[in-house]
Amino acid sequence: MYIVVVGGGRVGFYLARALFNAGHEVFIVERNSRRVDELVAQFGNVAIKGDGSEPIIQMAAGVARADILIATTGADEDNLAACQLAKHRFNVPRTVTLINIPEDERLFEILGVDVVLSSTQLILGAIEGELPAHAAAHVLPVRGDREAAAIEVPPGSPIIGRRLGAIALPPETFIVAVIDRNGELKELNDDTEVEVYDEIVALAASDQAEALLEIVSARR
Amino acid sequence: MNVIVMGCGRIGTQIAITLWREGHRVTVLDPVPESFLSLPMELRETEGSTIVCDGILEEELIHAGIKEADVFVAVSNRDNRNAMAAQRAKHIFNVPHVVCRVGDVERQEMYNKLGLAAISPTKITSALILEAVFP
Repeated sequence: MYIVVVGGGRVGFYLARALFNAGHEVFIVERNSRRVDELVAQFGNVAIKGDGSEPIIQMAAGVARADILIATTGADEDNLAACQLAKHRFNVPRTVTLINIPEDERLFEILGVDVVLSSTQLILGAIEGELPAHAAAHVLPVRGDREAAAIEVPPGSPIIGRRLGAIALPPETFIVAVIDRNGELKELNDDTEVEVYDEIVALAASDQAEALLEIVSARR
Repeated sequence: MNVIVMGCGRIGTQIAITLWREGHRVTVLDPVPESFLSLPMELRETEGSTIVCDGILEEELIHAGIKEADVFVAVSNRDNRNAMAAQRAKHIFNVPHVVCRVGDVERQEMYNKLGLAAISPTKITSALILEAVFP
């Protein structure tokens, strides 16, 4: 495929290298002439100096025959202008942009940019995938070195769909009530099935409360 | 009417003064505080009439009162900023009257086709000069 990259900064540079390695034809537009020299030294004659949102520069870069245009500059307004020009003036089938301000995502999507990537969102998404969703719990110390805990069953919890009798509880731990997501008390016996967003009320020895929380929490 | 003018250069100043004299409520945005010196003292000293900002961030526009604006005019010296702010005003905030300045003629025509009122001083000025030379 023929791919034009607007912005030859760090992202643009490594992106171009990866695209070359994958066998694509790549052309880079970069405003800073020193960067252009570095790109040419690295990749050969596949970069020009110029403003990637100017029609004359996109024409010179052969955007009219590009399959994809990818905008990677540090200014969202320049990325938007480059994508809109490519799409509406040169009929590029697919436009992709990096955005620097996460709030701009909706505007870019409304305006028809095909793929909008926010670095902030990408990082947040990655972090959320790493962390197990911990169950929300209220814990109250009670007599006899025990704790009363009310724990909500989060999505992804391994006990969803299990019968109470089939859940291996920590020692000296008793489930005293299960309340469904609508606030209704469930009948309590070994056959009671646990559903997502149920609230489990339990009594546990103080040193076992954490273990109980682990059992209810979602896994990675 | 509530009017926001983005960019306090010669064009922005002219538009702001004209509308203000006609009795409209005008807010002018510019990242350089000194550019507001081109406005009459009385306008400058009106509460909320000038805000130091680019106008490209959503929160800046909200602070400038875009939710109650009837008119949004983007006439800074940066084409891409004007186009983005104007499209935000039109599509996110549904401002009834949105106009932007885009110097490049080809892009001005493209934005017009997309339904965004864009005006190119390059095109208008050169047409007027040609008309003066060859009436």
